[in-house]
Amino acid sequence: MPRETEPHVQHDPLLVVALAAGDLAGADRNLAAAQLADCAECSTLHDDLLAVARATAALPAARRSRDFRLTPADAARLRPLGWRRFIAAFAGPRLAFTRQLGVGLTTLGLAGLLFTALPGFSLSMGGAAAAPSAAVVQELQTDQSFAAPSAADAHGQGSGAGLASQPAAAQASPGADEGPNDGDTTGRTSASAPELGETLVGTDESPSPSPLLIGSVVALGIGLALLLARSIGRRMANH
Amino acid sequence: MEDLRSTTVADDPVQRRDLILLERARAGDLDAFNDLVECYQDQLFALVVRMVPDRDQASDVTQEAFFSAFRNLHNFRGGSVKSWLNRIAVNAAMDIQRARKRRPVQPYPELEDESWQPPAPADADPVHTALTWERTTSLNAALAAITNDQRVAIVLFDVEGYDYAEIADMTGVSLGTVKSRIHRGRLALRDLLSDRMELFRG
Repeated sequence: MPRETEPHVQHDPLLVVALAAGDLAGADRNLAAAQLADCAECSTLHDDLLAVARATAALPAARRSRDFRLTPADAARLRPLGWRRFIAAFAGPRLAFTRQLGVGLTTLGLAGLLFTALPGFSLSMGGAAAAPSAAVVQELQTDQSFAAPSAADAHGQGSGAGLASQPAAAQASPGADEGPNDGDTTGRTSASAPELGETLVGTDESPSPSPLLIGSVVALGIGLALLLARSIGRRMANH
Repeated sequence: MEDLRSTTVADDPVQRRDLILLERARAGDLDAFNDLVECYQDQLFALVVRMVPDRDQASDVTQEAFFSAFRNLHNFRGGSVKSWLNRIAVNAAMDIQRARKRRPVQPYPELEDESWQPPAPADADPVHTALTWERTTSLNAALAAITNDQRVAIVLFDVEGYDYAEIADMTGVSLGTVKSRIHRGRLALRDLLSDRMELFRG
């Protein structure tokens, strides 16, 4: 009968567990074996652990209540063909990054559209907008052939110049004070120059959306397409 | 198509059979995949039901594991098909366990129902059968009472026969964590069964 040399409460039960599991070696194994030899409770614990492990290993397998084989309908749903397979790929782990990409592109697109919609927005932001317009006006005043067609626009003859002509016409009088006074051409020149300054983009003769606008629309379109594809793919996978 | 047989141990006939079936399943042969299901559905269900105390949920988890395996046939990169299926089933069961933490239910309600246990042989000693039934019931109740992590580790180690490294790979934790879970789980089981240890010592 083993003699107890120290109280059982001071013994580490996990040491006994590790010994029962065969996970100890060397000095630790010797220490655990000595503990078992000296403590009846540790010895009982060791034997109980082995008995529980044997019983666990011998647990009978529970019987299944149904057949888990797949039907053709299951297979078609789980592995779609053609365009459905392409869309379903967006819901898979390989293309999981498309969610973040779609959100990012959509956000960028919306932000870009908001920027382009701001009144007085140009590629160089804020009050500096007037200065480039003035510089362009000075440059264009030297080119009479460029000013003449613009003068015709200022009088509303072009269909797309309505918006441009109104601020141009409104500024015709102040423009006359600013520009060089030179007879009849003054009004025209002055009217045309602010118009050109005001409408750096989108004149009737050369309407061209800004790169920012184009890029924003493209980014928004791609972002929404990715999110939509992913959403449809997940619905197909869960259906 | 990648030839899986050249990348794995080819000496085991069971492994060769599994790889051939899996290759055919990859090529679109549903019957080949269902042959794999027939080979492993009993073992997979027995594994899952130890981890998910609710029998109906265990059936759902097992079915979902086979669905996932079918969807991800192209992701199999060699090795043991059995281990691959077990890994999928363990992950599915652990997902359900995490969800159940928020909605605890009575564990093992079917312990009172003998119909889902294998029947005793006709010539079995009735006393021995009754003791076995009592021991099984007590042990199942104790397994349901320990933590999910400990139960998964003990079931994979003691019941399924996987080693520490395989369990670490399946559950995504370190070797030391697996050992710790098994040791603490066994200690907890013993404490829970302390008043019925005579059933196990005999």
